[in-house]
Amino acid sequence: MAKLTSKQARELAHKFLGLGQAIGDFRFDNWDELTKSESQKLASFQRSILNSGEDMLALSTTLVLDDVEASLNRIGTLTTKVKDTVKGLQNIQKGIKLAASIMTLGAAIISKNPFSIVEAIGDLEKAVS
Amino acid sequence: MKRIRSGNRYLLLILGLALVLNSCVNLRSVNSYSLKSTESLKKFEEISYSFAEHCLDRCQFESVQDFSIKRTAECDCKLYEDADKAATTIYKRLRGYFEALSALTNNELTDYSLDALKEPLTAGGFGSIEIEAADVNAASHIATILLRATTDLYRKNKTKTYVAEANADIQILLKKFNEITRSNLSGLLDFKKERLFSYYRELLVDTSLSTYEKAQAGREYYQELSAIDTQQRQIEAFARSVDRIAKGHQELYENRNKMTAKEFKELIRGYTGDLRNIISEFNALKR
Repeated sequence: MAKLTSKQARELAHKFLGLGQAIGDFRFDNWDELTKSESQKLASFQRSILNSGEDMLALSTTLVLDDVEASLNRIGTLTTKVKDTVKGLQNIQKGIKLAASIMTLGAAIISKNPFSIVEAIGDLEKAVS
Repeated sequence: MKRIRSGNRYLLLILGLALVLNSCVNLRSVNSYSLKSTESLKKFEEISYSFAEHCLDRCQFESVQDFSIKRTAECDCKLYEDADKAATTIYKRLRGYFEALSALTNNELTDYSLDALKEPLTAGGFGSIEIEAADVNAASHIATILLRATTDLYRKNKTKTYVAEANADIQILLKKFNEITRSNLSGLLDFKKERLFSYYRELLVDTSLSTYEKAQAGREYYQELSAIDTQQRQIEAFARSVDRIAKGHQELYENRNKMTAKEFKELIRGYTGDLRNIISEFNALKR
């Protein structure tokens, strides 16, 4: 048997609502003619139909996932790509700091000042970490 | 000693500035749209109704109607909880995409500082090369502008690519998300209305109730109806914002190669403005 689609479940729900309303109208329009037992039976019938309609709407919502599974996956992958691009752009600032530390170390080595070299190595370590 | 000529320096500065201004302004409108879209989508968390809540409501209503109260409500709401999970899954995926798009189009992302590079250059000389502080400052300024222009161009191209890649799926997800809220969640409230209508109608034909009690029941009915109407209006406002997000994304996609055009900015600004108005409307219905 073919599986119910989200759209079909929703359409059924709307039909159930209409049916429930019609039963309610019939019950109250014929209130004086109906016996208590008949009226209660109709009320119970109406309740069941309304409940089924609501269940159909909830079911329709869960079935939406079947329709959008591929889209959900593709958007998930794409979002990761966008985030990676953002991360890459954020890393440029880190790269600038790293380049500055390397330049400072280079200048310290050229100046042959051991204290400056040690300090520059410390800065470079910080930039790398 | 090598120095940058003043004429070239200013020419580069002007060119760089033009590039920066051009790319900033265009991404700014896309950024405003994606930020407002994220804000609008987040209103989903503020909708004062859910599938599971409806199931509990119904279960408790039936229990009261049957004059049977229990220590704890025994309600099987698994299907309704699954419906909430499905809606939340789509919501989170959409929110994630728009948040990422906002981050990518945020101009502060490429607001780089080259000050760190200036220090080692001005601190002294590099062997036989001596660099004056004024030249270092000028070069750093130009480099910052050019770096900004290059990365902004890169961001713009990436934005175009990602919007194109995402559009078909975003349209599907937004359409389904809209159906879930506008048709299914709001639809449940139509059932609730019908249940209340039958309940109060029965009270009004009940011969054991006094005229005063019947009038009281009538008043209660209209109060409950009004509360449901407010919830439905809130859901409708949310669904309209989802519509606008979808249309805005479609425009973004169709005009992605015309991001420099003034009309494009105006168009996107229009959607952003619509979303702002719908958010205000939604917030007003929460009170």
